[in-house]
Amino acid sequence: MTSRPVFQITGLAVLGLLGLGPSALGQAKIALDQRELCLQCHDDLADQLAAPVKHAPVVEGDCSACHNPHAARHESLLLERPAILCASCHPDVTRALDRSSPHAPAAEGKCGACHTPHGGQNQGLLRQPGLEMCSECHQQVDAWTKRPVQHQPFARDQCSTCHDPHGAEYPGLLAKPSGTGCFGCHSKTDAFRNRHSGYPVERADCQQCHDPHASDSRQLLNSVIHPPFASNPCSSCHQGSGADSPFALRTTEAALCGECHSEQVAEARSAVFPHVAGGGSNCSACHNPHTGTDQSLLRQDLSSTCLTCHNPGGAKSGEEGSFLSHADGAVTCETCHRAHGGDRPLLLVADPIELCGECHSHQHAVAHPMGEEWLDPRNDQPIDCLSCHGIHRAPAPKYLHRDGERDLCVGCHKQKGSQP
Amino acid sequence: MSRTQFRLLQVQTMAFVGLAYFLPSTVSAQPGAPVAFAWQESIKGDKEPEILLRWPIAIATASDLEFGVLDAWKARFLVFKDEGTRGWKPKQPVELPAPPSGLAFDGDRYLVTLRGTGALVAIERPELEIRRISLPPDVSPGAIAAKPEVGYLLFDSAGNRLIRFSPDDQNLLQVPIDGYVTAVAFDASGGFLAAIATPPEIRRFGTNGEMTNSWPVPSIAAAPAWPVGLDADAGGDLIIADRHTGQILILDAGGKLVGIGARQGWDAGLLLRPADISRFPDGRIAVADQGNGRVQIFSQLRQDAGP
Repeated sequence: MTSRPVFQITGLAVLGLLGLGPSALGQAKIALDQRELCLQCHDDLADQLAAPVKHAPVVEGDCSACHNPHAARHESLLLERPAILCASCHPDVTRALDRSSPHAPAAEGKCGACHTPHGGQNQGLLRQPGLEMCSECHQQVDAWTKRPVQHQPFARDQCSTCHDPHGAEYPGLLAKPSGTGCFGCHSKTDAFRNRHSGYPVERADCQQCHDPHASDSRQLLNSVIHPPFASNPCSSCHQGSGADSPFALRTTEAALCGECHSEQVAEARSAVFPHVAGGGSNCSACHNPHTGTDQSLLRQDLSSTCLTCHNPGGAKSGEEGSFLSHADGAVTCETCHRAHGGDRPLLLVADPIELCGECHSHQHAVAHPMGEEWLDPRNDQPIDCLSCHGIHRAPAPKYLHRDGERDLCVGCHKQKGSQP
Repeated sequence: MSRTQFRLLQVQTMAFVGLAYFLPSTVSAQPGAPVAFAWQESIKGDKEPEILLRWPIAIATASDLEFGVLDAWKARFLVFKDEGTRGWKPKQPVELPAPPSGLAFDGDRYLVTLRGTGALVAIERPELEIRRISLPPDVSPGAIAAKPEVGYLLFDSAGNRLIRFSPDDQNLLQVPIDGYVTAVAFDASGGFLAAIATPPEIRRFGTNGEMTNSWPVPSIAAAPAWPVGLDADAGGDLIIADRHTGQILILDAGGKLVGIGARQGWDAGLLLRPADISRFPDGRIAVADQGNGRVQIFSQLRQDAGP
């Protein structure tokens, strides 16, 4: 037995000397079992190769389908970057990534985040069975599994019933829009209509009221129900179910919401710097008037709600999440910004020097002179933290607009000695 | 050298410098773009007596030698006049009764929408006296545009509608509109336009209020466009200020991008969170450069589109 590897290695060496590359090795179909050869050293892969679900090249013993046995530009001697390599046999993934809502790990080419490349226990070569796999990033899955009422596909680990894990046309990786997708299983019967007061809710977004994963209620309702929705008939806010536009409101949102939330509506309307154009009239852009997952009834968590409009470039830009990078998520949008409008530009809750100083007290004490007495020579505005820092994203370390060693400084101090 | 000759030389010099400065980042990004911009001047105000802009949020040109600007800092309205070799000089600020929102000039007077109070006021020249104009109940006015002899148009954020008025303040038309209207403008034919922030687009309406067209507002940066200022010239070109990228965009009457100017920054000629834009009768463009606390004026350089 000991002589066999020696023979194989000698054979490879001879082929290598003849100038034959890995593709030539494949074409030659030399009388070597690549799989056994590789396992001589990579015996840690034995478990994966013996697993019940194997990657097709592994079944064929074709290690060189993915790896160059001699040298490669890519990690693990891969022939190409994972995204390109995997797509060469899985074009469906490439097509999925072209859709409007790609899954972040797939879009970033991190196939190995979910899949094991050689073999494993789970279908699709997933590293973990369905829900466990998803819960590694989507922490809310754990909470859903603890709820008493679970949507059947969720309870059965069938995430792909509703989601396309690589990319989809609809938010939330939904293969079909919320509503349309639901009626693949749920029928529009009279009983269904009656339960919704005769309103044609099949035209609406089911997730306005229902949690498609799990709930404490039998109807899979979201956990927080807006009191007017719980206690009043739909027609107290909407046109009647038989109207031409049954979901149209009886009056403006400002008037409806302002009946209880007059303070917020007034704040939005009177702010020196309103949120968006008017304030106080488009509450439902951020809030769900029916149900929610917390008392604010936001349509999504706070940062996701803000990013609905304030996302620079979206998932395909390479800047996804850059507006959330400050403090690595330790602060929320509302730490610095007033959601309904404020009396300062950028809806900041306070003067930038004061606001930043709340966390950066040391820098506040030793920083470049700032304040009303110190004018930025570029625009004659008082210098503040934002004069040098980009806060959300900036090209230089410490969120600086330019390299802090020199370029940033000479932006103002153009002539040595001309500035303090 | 006469004042006219001096100004002509100044403009020519700035145009050349502006072209050299901006062309690499504009025309090269949009091959064949027939419009470029040349920065002319930055206007901050006077230090003695101290009348300095701080947070300009809206601007309206009245003539080639006058514009008005709203400053959210202390809720005030300022008129600037071009005094020749003395440059642009601010007149005594007019204190407003509430934080201002939108500004327009209808040929005789400035019109200012006020936040919170649901008020529209006219600031009558030459004494700059404030006169309140009554609006329908429950209107929360925001963006406003005006056109001599045509009237004015404002966005009611409480009712999600555009309301059009005659020059003598009669309510002529109400048009429901979805989305956040950040700017409105009249076009040459008497129809009107609205800029929507998200998704960024321009919608065109006929004189009867029927929407006739809409176009997305392009962005050449990673950030999506966020149109905040809108004006139209006699030829139908639309001038847009993009708050996210600090750029001025020009779309032709069909919605095609034909010019990009300026970029984000602090130095003269650069824009930081522009808030509004207005066109002088002679074609120059005034921008409320909110982040830099100033007004900047650019001239348009029409290039021969070639064969």
